[in-house]
Amino acid sequence: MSASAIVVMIIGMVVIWGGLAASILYAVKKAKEKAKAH
Amino acid sequence: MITYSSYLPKKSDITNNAFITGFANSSFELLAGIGVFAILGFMALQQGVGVDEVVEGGVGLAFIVFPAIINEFPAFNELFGFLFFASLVLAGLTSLMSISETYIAGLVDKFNISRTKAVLFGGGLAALISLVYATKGGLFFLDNVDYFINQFGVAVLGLVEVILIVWIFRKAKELRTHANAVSDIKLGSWWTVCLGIITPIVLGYMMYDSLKTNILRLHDTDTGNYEGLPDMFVLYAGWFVAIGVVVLGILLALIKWKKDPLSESQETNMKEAK
Repeated sequence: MSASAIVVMIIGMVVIWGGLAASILYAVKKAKEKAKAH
Repeated sequence: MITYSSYLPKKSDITNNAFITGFANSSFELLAGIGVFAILGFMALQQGVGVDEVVEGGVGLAFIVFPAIINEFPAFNELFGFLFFASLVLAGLTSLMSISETYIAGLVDKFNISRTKAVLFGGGLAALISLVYATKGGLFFLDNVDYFINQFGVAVLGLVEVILIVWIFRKAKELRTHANAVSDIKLGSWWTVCLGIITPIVLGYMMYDSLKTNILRLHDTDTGNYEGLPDMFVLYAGWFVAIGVVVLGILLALIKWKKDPLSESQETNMKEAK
């Protein structure tokens, strides 16, 4: 596996898994805020 | 995904839901990819051959390569074998539900019939057609139909959808305004660029490349066809199926709706306003 392939793989993992974690955390935060508002 | 999303409450945060769906799908695929290539690498090392020589896609990967790997385990082969095939059954059942739901929801809305009738008719027809997969040559039919539907059915559908929405009906701005009205994350002009330019170019190129490979028979096999299948088989169990679903889709779209979809959404909006 070449260095460029490893870099692209790491970027992909950070973007995809990071994106998933960020969007789930955001949804949970928003749901809590809405529950408090009610 | 369109069918599932149609069941969301009216004021759902569409953008964040879309992010979660897209990222979750890609996350699992990435994880599965790491797992599969780690296993193939192990197998290639054991046999002393290159990874490209043990690579099997689709059906072969699930029913030949993975069972062979499980057999290589030092202990608990039966347990892992059971866990693997139980997971495969579960994956099959959940896929069955999501695939069935698309035509069931379509039949219910289009012809204004009950879900029971839609399940009986759609499921019955699907069961009859699927009998061919239970024959001795069933695996060839399954593999070929799966390949052609995924290569041309699903990809063409996505390509036609984005071109129709953005370039023919010019609804991108309207959809963006609607998504921004109900979502916290706001979509900018980058979204329209992605939908109208980048996605059609990527899907269009994939389509062109796939068509070229299959029409000019450029697969690295004896016959040049997918998996080295004969021309007539590819014509009937491949091209006819892929073109058939497109023609069927157009014919069904020409049939008038029995239930007015607008009146239903207006009713819901009125109820919400009250």
